[in-house]
Amino acid sequence: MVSSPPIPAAFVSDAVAPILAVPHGAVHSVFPRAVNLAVDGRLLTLADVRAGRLPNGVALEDPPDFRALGLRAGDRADLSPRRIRLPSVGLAIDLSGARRWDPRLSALGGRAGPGRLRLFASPGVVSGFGSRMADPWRGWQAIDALQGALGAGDLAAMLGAARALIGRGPGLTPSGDDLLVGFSAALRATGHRLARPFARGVAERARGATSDVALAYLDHAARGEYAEHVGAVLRALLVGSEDDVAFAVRRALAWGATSGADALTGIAVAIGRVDGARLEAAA
Amino acid sequence: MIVANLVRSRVFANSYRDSVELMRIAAELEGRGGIIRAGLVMATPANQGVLREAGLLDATAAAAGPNDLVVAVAAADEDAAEGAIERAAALLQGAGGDAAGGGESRAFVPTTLGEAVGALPGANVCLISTPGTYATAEALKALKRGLHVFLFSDNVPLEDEIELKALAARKGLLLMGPDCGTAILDGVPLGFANAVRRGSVGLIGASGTGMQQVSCLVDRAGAGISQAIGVGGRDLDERVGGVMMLAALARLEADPATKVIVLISKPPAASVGARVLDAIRGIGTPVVVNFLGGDPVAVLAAGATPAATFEEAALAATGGRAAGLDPALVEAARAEGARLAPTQDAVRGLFSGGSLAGEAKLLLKAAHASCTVIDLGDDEYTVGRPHPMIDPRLRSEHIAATGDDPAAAVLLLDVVLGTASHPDPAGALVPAIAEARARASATGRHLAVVASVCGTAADAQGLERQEAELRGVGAIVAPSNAQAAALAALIVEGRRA
Repeated sequence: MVSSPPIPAAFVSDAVAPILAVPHGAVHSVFPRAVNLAVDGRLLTLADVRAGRLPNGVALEDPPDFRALGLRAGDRADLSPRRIRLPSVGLAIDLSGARRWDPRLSALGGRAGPGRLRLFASPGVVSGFGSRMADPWRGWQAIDALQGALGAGDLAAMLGAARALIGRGPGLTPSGDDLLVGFSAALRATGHRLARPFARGVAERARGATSDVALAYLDHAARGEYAEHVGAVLRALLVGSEDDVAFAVRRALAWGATSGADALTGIAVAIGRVDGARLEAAA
Repeated sequence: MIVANLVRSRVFANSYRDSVELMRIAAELEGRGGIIRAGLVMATPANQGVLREAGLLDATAAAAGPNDLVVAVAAADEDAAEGAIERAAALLQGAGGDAAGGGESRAFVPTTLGEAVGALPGANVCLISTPGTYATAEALKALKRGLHVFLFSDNVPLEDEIELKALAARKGLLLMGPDCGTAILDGVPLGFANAVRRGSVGLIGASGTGMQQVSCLVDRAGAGISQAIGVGGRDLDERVGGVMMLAALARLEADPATKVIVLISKPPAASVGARVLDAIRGIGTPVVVNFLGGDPVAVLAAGATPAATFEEAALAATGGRAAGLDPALVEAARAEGARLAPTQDAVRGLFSGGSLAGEAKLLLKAAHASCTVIDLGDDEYTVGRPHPMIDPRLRSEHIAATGDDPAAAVLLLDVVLGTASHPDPAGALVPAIAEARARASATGRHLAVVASVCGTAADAQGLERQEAELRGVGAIVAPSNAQAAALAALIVEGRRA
């Protein structure tokens, strides 16, 4: 097969370095501008840079339509720290000029405050839990239970509530999983003592209970790694300005059909509770 | 009516499509003839549970795994089900495209204002419900295209509202909002609205549930609504200047179907109030003014009829006369008062409607009743969750907790029916009311409950059914919010030290 010129990668997540050390993988799923590779039990996403930076991702400049090229699930992928090859369609991704970025989120300090949180409360921000396929009443029941358990500092109850959200809702990454990613990111960013055990517990419970793609994000969350748009919202909320919040929210909402809104909902659920507790403590 | 008599599904093993595609395909399937419900979800255990609840889980879908995509439809007949599933399969395989073959029509889902106007060239109103951050840009586009705007979005900056309303006024258009909860335009309800008959009463309001209450009481009086135009809660603010209330007033004055106009708002800024009253002086159509807690003298001086409550406004607009409280309800209230313990002297209002909460608070204060009135639709309660008119669970928690409050004598509630509201709002509160009463009686107290239902017999939730559910749990049900507040005040009357 005639090979086309390599596609330059713009960004590579630090979290994928160990994956690139594994020589071979297989195509897991193919989308018009993105490909997931299954490598040694983990998922590596090659996606258009316009989709943002993902914790498990390589962001590509102007990728072709992978589906139209005929790339299929199961096709071989060859990996190295400098190059990824997809021999079945004669494609190569050049990683040598890519900038590295760190998806780890750490405690940021600061406080959200009601003014900034209001940007989340608009009726226009509709999560997947507004859709019939999420069974909104039960979905919100679980969300309420999650928030209540966080308020009580009860890890077992938080994980019990999370179990009802894992794999629930529409989308390739079901809304409940996206919400849990946002929720756990907010716990990390606010330095909550249960952030780590909660994220790990969710990832353990998600095995076999949700799609591989959703599980990949929950696994990264368990390591404290999040998509750049999720971290940006939290940075804006906690240590930025209201304009920063508006901008970050706009970017996050563009993620997936409802994935961005679902993650924002998770952030609001956690921050609302954590910030409320801080305000009470300060009073 | 289509009756679903079969469920069919197909599993696409290890099939991955992005969420936008899945939502688009689901929307298309639901728009097909003979399809009652459709679902396209990853077959995780949780989603299989959702499909089961929705009556969409058959054996095929039940056997699928979390990396499988399942397409499930409830259909009127086998042909419709098979056609929908085949269509989904074609779209998932990328064969759908824009040029659907076989004369099959695809549901059109516009993604921009331009596309929507192209598909419906006669449209003259644009409803905007995006986050506040983007609402201004969309509203500007709509106004520039000559469309009236119903702006449901909140969090629109005041400066933007001023600019949008100035542009609308220049172009002779209405900018209803921002944070506009309700409107009825030519009989079409927008946002939260009730099924009221059409008639000759025109409403203009900066108050969502206030307009709903007036429209329902007008309907109950046998009259109807010509137009109900929401202008947004800040329209009568000094800086906005009542631009849209004035524009709406001019429109209704020119509308031959409108024989009387009702204005509803909190008290306006002084200069704006004066401007509105000046405008009223100059028009021939009778005007009723309900500026909650406002000065009736200035209204009378402008040649309009002042109304202190939403009920008075509806009565004045329909030529009715206030008949006072129903003696049977007064007797029931006094009987409840007699059962209270010495510690119980306060009214606890837990409201879903902001204007209804405002009215109740005003009336209770005027009656010198000890009270706390909470509007659970306020921003501080709605972060990350739906409005309490849609989702009653937060209010239920507050209601149940009222049973533990030793000072609580009366639980005062509103229940709002209509489009966008919960399908059974009274029924959803009943368990919490029962729990509150049980908690109170566990410590030897009796908790009185007074409620009113804002709705009509034609609303999907059914006024009578909703009222009966509340009576079934021992509530005194008043015909209006104002009367409910008066009855609550009556129950605690004489208990003040």
